[in-house]
Amino acid sequence: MNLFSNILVYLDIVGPLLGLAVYTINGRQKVGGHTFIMAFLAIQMICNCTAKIIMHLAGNNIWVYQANVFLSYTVISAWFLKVIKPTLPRPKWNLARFFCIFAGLFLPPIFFLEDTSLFNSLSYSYTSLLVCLFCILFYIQNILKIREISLLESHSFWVASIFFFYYSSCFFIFAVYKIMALNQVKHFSNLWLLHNLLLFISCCTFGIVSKKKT
Amino acid sequence: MKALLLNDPELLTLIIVIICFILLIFAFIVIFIVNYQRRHHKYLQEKSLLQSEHTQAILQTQLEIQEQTLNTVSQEIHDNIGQILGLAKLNLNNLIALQPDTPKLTATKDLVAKAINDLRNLTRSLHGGRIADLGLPDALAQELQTLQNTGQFTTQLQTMGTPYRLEAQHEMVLFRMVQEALHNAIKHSEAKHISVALHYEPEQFKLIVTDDGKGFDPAALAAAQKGIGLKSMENRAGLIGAAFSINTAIGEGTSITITLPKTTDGR
Repeated sequence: MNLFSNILVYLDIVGPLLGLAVYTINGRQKVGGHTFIMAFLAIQMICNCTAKIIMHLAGNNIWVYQANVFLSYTVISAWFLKVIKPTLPRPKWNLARFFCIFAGLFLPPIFFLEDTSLFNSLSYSYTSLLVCLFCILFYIQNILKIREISLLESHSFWVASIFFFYYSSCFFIFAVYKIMALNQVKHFSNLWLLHNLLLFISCCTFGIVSKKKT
Repeated sequence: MKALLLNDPELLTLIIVIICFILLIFAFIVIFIVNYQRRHHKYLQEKSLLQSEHTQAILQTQLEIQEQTLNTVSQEIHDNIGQILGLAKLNLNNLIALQPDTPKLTATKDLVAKAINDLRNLTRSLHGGRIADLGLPDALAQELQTLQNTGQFTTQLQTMGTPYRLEAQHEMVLFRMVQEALHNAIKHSEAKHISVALHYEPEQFKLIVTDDGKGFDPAALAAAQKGIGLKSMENRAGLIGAAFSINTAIGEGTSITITLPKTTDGR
């Protein structure tokens, strides 16, 4: 692999690390919605790092990525619970239902439908779609209820947009990754390098918007 | 990397699709931002308009309450104190008729007569209905004459152009503003001469109150959070859609200009 590819391989660790570093420098780790984003970045960094270590030890690191997705979705759901309140009637109950739908769609394929040693396209795709749905709900809420402070100045808008960008972009990658692996498409793993690049961009953008008020 | 992609058309196609989708996502976000900003701008405009209307409504109510209070006070003074002084004068006249050579009685009668006259002037000054009856120029002329009669000031009323009637409420507000300006000149300026100029122009009405007093520094006044009277005048001007400006400097007198566009007076 050339240098560029080598760099792309480790971008899924570098990106979250940079994002966390910027958050720490800005000193916002204890403030409001920033906590959830820092948790998301920490999960990404720890899980991707662990997965790399297991990969280098020639082990099966698929379970780490599955845990990554599950934990990330939990944190993202908690964050959206804070920001999407007015749109949904009884928001806590409805987001709880979303979480149950997620769990119901995510866990069974892992244990009953898919090979646990292989990438789980179904679960990851569902997760991406649910997060995109949360983001769309966020946009709908804000277009229906205009606030005095410009949305562009708010941290939540940028976070939702970054999640929307990352998960909608990666939806295709998650959906076809397993098929390409099974069909032994050459160099299909380059798709994961593209995912790493998208994650790096997203995490850096989290760092950039960390200065905005929640 | 390039060679790898060229040798894998499926992978290349997929990457192109993903990039197109990313661009689509960006376009969606940009459209959302543009739409939101447009609505946000409209919301801020509506809010500003509502705030302005609310402020106007409050001002209007305050002015109405003020006028009502002044009218009530004026009526009470006329009915009660005026009557009592009138009776006192009558009694003094009777006493003078019985004792014609008593200088003190005559002096007392003169004092009571002066008090009745001053009270009459005060009542006229307070009563808003007088302005509607007399019109702005005559009401101001009376006000300036009262001031001149104190002997401490010389006053002048100038009228330029062909006079026309303004809306009753506008004339009332303008009169009260002039009263406030005169009050400030008397209390603070140490002026000797005060003039009021009425400019009846085709497109606007201009009222200028000038004194030859010691002037003041408006910035220093604002910084000391004083000048409530001036602020009140500015608010009143805003209520009727008039522009309000002050031209003053320390040692150079004060000139207050109120400009009322003619379209706002219903003519």
